[in-house]
Amino acid sequence: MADTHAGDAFDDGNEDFQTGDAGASNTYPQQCSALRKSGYVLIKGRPCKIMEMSTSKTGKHGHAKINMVGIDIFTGKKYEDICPSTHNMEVPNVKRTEYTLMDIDNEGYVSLMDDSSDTRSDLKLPEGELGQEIRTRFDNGDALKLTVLKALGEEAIIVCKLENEPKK
Amino acid sequence: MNNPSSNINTNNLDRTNDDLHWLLLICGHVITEEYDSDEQKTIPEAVMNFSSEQVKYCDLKKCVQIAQHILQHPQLDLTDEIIQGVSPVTQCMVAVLKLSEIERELCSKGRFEYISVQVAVSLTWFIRRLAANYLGFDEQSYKDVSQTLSVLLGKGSEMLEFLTNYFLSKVVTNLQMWASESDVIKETADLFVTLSIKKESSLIIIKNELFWTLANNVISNHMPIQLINEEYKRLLIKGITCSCLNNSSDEYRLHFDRSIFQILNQRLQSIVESIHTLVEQIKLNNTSKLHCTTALQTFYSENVLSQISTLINSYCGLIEGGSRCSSIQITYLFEHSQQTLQYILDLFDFYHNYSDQVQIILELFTLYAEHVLVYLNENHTKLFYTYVLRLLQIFTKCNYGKKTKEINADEDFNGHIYTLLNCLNHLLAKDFIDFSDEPSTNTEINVGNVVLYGLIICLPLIRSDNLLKIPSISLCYYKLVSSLCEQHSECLFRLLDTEQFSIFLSTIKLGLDNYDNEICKMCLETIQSLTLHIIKQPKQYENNEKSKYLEHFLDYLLQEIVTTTTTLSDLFDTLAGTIYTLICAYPNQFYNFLGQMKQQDDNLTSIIDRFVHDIGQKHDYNRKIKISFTVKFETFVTDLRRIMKK
Repeated sequence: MADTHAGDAFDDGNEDFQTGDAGASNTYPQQCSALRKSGYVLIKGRPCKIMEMSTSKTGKHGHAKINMVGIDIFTGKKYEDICPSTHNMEVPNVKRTEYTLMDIDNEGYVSLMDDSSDTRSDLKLPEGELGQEIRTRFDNGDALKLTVLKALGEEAIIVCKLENEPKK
Repeated sequence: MNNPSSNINTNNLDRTNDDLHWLLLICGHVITEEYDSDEQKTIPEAVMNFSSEQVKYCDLKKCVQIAQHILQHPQLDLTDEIIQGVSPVTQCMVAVLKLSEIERELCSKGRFEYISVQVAVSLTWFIRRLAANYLGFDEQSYKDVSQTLSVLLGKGSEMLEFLTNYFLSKVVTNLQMWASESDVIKETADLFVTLSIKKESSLIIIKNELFWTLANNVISNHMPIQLINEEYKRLLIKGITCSCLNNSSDEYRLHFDRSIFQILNQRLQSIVESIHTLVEQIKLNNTSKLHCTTALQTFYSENVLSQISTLINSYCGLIEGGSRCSSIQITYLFEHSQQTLQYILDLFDFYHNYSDQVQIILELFTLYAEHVLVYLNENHTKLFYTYVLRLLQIFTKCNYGKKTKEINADEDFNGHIYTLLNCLNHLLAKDFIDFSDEPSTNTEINVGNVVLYGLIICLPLIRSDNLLKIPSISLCYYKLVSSLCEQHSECLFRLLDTEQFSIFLSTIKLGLDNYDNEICKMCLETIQSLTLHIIKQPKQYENNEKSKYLEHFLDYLLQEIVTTTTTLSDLFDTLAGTIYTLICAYPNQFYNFLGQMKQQDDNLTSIIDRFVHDIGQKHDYNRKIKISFTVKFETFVTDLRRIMKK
């Protein structure tokens, strides 16, 4: 039981299946043809969400090239790349972790607690509307869940939602 | 090609490949026709007639032999001597088979520099259409059947089996050779589905070991299947399922169960149980907590997420394939997927923050609602409704008061809402279409309640993000509410509180104000259905708040008729019908409105009085009277506008 992880769950004799232990690698290679819109890919060293994918050819009868437009998941900056369909690209491991918001200090640092009751206070409120919304709701006494996005060692709070459902 | 020299004149090669590409297209368009997936595909009549006329010049035996021969000896030159006595349609087919074999041979020898991706696409395209139109064609559909085609490709012919198996091998080799070329794989997946849907060809391929090897590779996501897009993997599973269940044989259903269905179910069970175990261990807060937390995180890695999507996608392909089969097979699929759906709901909860996984699970439930529900008996139907209710509850929990700055979150969320509305629309279809052996008579199962619950969840999410401005969502939403109100208007009065009812009606008014005639019509029908419900129980809704909200539409619609200058010809009947229904429910309000009109403009008095006289004083709802009201109302509106123009 202590050794259970995703690799075991998928092991039905498929030796080609690759899993990784969490934190073992920030990226893994994937052939371009297997990438898809709304998936993730590393473009110019930045973790990006693929917004557009189109195919062009090397010459009229040549092999496909994939044109990709991606948006940096942290900065929102647009990146483009072209890659032959048979080549590999690096896919970042993008993690989402949900935390309960415990406190916000004067400098804007948030105290968070995860499902296993571990806490952290190293993240700041995001800039802009989301950060303001979190502060307003917290000040109103709402119980909030925040989602932290993590990729390639970078982290940011990206979602906030109310913990308690309305009565129906 | 026989030249061992490595110097290739690429210009010449490109020109040759260009010619091949265009010739394939021309031949394909001449001897085959395009088709929709549900259409009965036939050989074009002109080709059948031409082939019939040519029979007297043909050596039938030679036609069959040459097709077999060319696949064994693709280097064979198709000289005049060789093709003499072979019918033109056969010549065309044989030339294409030769090209296909040359391509395969070049690949197997590593001579990729000669091969064109474009030609590979066109070749597979041609073979797909040939398979769809010709394989095992039904001679009953033709007045005059060509003997050549009958011998080559007719039902039960020896060549039919030979060619079908060749086309299956084409699918397999394409997947190996062209896994990185999505255009080729698309045509290949479509070819496989074509072979699977046709009963004659599916019975042949299912006996071929290649089929089961392919099925195993697809289910296991072995290379090169891993390299192809999810959309095409889904098509492959659709084809596999359809072939296996497209007949009444228990043997193949058992084989399918062992090789496909159980494998997927076991994999799913293993994942969900692992997740549950780790979550429980973490809650116990013992010494293995850290290890379990780390282990649980592996289920969120991109690689595993991709595998989860592939797994759920496989189930989608399964249902799409099953939907092409008999009701017995569809019921069998549901009976064996009850635990599956429960596990998938657990995954929905676990992966609620991951929009791709949320989307694919919503799509799966929509497929069940669209293709399976209409065949389910009462107990199974009730069970499916409980699954949908749980899906809706998890969706609410995960989106309640949500605010996000994630890239493209809006588009992802819109996709979720659209799919959910679509699912709810399909649920309602059970009221109209029920192919189960025992149509439901139990009023305890009220699909209206389930759908309304879904609507209550979606409505605040739709309003907060103003999603009704998106055409696909608005169309889906208004279609849903008009069907819901037509069949289950009492649910809205029973289950919505006053505020929710008012919000609901505001979306109807929004539809009338801002959208095209298609949506306006649905809004008017919604108002009609709700008003009819009130007419049937007048005492219950006397002085009722919800009834008062509905009453406002009478003034609003009459005002619109009076003030608008646009023609309403498309909508007029529905508009008149709605106004008539509202008049039956709220006659006093109607006469008040007319009184105010007379006060504002004396010139209208005679027209109004005439109209009131024509329609009479008593307004009991009656379909016949509604039709005659429409005619009188049209005259009234025409006269009104004529006067008001002056």
